[in-house]
Amino acid sequence: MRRAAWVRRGFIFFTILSLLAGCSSPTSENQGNTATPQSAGGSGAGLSGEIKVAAWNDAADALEAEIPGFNQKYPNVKVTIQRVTNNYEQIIPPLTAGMGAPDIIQTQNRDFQSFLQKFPDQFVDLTDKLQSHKDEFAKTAWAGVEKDGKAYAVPWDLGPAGVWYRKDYFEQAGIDPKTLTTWDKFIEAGKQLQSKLGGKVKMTTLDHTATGDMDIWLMLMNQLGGSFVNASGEIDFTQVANLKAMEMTKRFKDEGITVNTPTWDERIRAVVNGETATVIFPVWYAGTIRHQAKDQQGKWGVMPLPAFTEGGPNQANLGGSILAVTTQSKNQEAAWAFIEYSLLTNEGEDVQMKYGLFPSWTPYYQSENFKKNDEFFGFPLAEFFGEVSTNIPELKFPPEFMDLSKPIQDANGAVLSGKAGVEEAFKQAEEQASKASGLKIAP
Amino acid sequence: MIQPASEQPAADKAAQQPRVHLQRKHGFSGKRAGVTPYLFVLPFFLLFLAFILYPLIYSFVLSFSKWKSGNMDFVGLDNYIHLFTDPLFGKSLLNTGMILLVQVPVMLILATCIAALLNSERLKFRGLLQVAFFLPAIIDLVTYSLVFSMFFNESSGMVNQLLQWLGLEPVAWRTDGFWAKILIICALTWRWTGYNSVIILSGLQMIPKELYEAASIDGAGSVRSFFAITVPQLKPVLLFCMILSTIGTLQIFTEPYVLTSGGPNNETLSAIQYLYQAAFKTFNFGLASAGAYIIMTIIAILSYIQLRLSKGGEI
Amino acid sequence: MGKGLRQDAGMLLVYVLLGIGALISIYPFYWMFTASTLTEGDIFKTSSAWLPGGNFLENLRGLESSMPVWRALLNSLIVSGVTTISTVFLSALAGYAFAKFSFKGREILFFLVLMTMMIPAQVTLVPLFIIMMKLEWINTYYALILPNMVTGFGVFLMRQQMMGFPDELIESARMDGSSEFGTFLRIVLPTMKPACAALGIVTFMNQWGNFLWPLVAVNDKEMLTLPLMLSMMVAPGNVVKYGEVMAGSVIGLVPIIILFLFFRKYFVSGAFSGSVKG
Repeated sequence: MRRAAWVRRGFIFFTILSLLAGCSSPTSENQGNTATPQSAGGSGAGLSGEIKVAAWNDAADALEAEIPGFNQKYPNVKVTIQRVTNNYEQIIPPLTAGMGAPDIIQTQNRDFQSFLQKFPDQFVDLTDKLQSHKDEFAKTAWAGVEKDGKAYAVPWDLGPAGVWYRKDYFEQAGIDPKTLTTWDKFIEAGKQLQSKLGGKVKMTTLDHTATGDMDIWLMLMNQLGGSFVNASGEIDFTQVANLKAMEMTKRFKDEGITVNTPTWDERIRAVVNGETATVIFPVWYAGTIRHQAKDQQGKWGVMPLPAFTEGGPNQANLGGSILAVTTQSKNQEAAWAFIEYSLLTNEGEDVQMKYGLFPSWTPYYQSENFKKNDEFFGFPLAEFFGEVSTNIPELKFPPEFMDLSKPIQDANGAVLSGKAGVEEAFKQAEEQASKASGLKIAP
Repeated sequence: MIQPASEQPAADKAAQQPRVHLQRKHGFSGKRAGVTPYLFVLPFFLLFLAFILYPLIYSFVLSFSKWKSGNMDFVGLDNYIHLFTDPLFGKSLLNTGMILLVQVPVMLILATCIAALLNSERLKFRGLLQVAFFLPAIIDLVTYSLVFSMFFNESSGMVNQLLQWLGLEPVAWRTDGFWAKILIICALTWRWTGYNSVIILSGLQMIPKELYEAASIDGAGSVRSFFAITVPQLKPVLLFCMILSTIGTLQIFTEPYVLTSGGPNNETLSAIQYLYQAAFKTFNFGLASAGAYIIMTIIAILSYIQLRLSKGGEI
Repeated sequence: MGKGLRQDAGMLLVYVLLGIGALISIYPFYWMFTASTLTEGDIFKTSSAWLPGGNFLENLRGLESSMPVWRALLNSLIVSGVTTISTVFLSALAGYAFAKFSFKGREILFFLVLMTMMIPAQVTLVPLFIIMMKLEWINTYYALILPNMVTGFGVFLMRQQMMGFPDELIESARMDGSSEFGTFLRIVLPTMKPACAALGIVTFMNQWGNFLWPLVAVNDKEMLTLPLMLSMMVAPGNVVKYGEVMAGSVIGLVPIIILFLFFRKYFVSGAFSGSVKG
């Protein structure tokens, strides 16, 4: 192999000359290649080949841990996990070039529609395989993988949100989490807690300039059923739900119940040093609390999100990924088999749970493992989040989301830092988003 | 002395010969040279063709096109027009320029001072100190972001605690645009001052000692001889550092990316960061390429001006 | 007597100022080292993150079990080492030609050299990737090394150095019948040690921390370089094992400190200053 490479060296500049001549459409060679893998059914022993899976961090760990189990069923498929960063720097060039992509890629659920739009023909149509499973997935997760009635990826994990809270702080301040049913009450309780505990502790965390993230707003607007575009796909940032969510986020800051956490690390710092009594975040924050705040074992509880009005909607989702098979893959059947084993079987999901990935595949919610008590937190963690993900409003991220997200996040920042009123900022964001994406603004 | 004078290589001594001499004799003419010089520069230009020029041409083509449904469509000047009319790109250029204007002079002054101190004759531990000052240039990104976020945390960061201890108001490093820029400047200066001071030190050590002795006999104090002798003698080295730092700061990416994410309200968004977002957040490689060409042009013009101003065009 | 005292006071001031500057410079490295010896929970604790703990080996073991850290270190050494040697040699060669020969097209070629210093790396990323794909070099050392085998900065620096080299020496070597390459190798290059060392350190340092291109050029776990490996362990939204990352950072720091200590005397002996005197 090495020698072949050396021989090739002689031809480099030849090749480069030819490259110079023909640098037009690099994806052309894959265009004829969009056929779906041959139909389902064939049980696994016959499958063979090599597949590469690109995933990041915990998710990559989880998939790596699936391999031994998978290989018991499919001994002839060799799976390699490629570690990537979660900024897609390694995924985009091969998709752009039309070559070099792994067989399976991970993207965030919210970004996948953009991938589908910018890289059509790069993802295998999985509709036939997934048809019978469609209703088994949490609705909001499924929304991300479908385009024109066809499914191009498998929803992976889900991020049902809750309020993580320090039991000991709440006790000291005499607050019963059960009574915090609305955000108004949450804010009042926050003030009470801060005055009882004396200055050093804030009620919750927030990125005060929405520079690092706009997660709080995203959860609140999802809770109210907000969205970025209207039914006909026009930009609609100024809908009531979005504005209400923004006003509430701003109130958190203005009422002084938040500690500023502009980065992921600083939120950890606030948690570890006990500077915050709560963190409003999805199930996947459990791993970080468990890992970085080891000596706070047993001190953390979790409660459902408060509602905007008594008895109002209180469920939201944040985050979650998908796995898709690329058309560049030469072993699409094997790739599908690996995804199916990891995400659509109880054995597979048992492994996922171990790595803190909360399944969006709901049949698993009936399993023993799902209802198990969590040692660190002292209650059945997964089961709780199963209960707060029964009715999460479906939030469809449009294909242009990557163009929309920067303006809306900037609007968050402008509002929070008092540079603009909510409506004004969101109107302006609509215009910028329209310019960046080419979408119309809803009337 | 850690730095024995005898180590001064012939080349350096020669470098101090009058330049006229070099200009006149410089180069061997035609016949004997033949293909030799071409052979000598060949490796560079082969690599240049393959890994720089080709990609450059490619991205130049990209800068006039837009990816749509997996195809590259020619869109003329659209990307350039978009950039010139996008206030955010303008803002990112302005941010970069403001950071440049403050950061490069501050850093070079600091670096010169440190180099002058390091050049003190009776200084011990010079080697260790040099390593210490040089280290920041090789910091890894993870540590960089963790440590700076810890230092400049608005409520519990050490910098603000120090300020409060001194009876000053805590500073809004992350939430105020002005201070966020200062934060970026602090970080950049922290990372590159030592590196530059090592370069400047090497220039200092080449200034003939006799000059100082003469000045001392004339009764000049150390401060006066610093300005009368050191600074003018250092001019070429400082120019070198200035050009490199200008290029570096115009391409600033790491600091805003890692430390402030460009915030608050895009007040620290840098030009390269804007391009990075265009490429990897919205897959708009055409736009990113167009922007890169704009930035490259700016860098080329600035470098040219700096050279012109200082040396009459001779690099 | 009085003067001596004043000088002592002056030296004291010098030490104090340099000491403060050095402390500010190395504090983050101290923190990195400390964090690598702490347990995950202690790293972020404001109360305990000041003194080293006893957890380094455990963090290192954790890192070893999740990432091929020694392989990554080896990759980094190979890539940085080869690119450094080739950059120094090829830059010297080209710089010599630019400085000591007059030939047709010299000005324009040298302008091209300068231009390469101004190109942001982000620009050439995708086209470069396409080249490497076509050559089937993704996930090989070729992809990591070849695009960085010589730099415009290197040629520029070397040219400035070479301009000061006495023509007479070259002439007399020619009289003795030395070939052009022989003259370069035996007469010119040996006097360029300081410049080579300086360029070598800077190149090695840049390559050691190089991040964006390796990120795109390799994705095989066995081919990761050290900074690449560390960056993959940090993804907001996921559990980040900071202690392990810091242990990796400490390991990555060692070779570069050794290198700098080793070549330091050349580095400061006027190598850069000559570069603008020509």
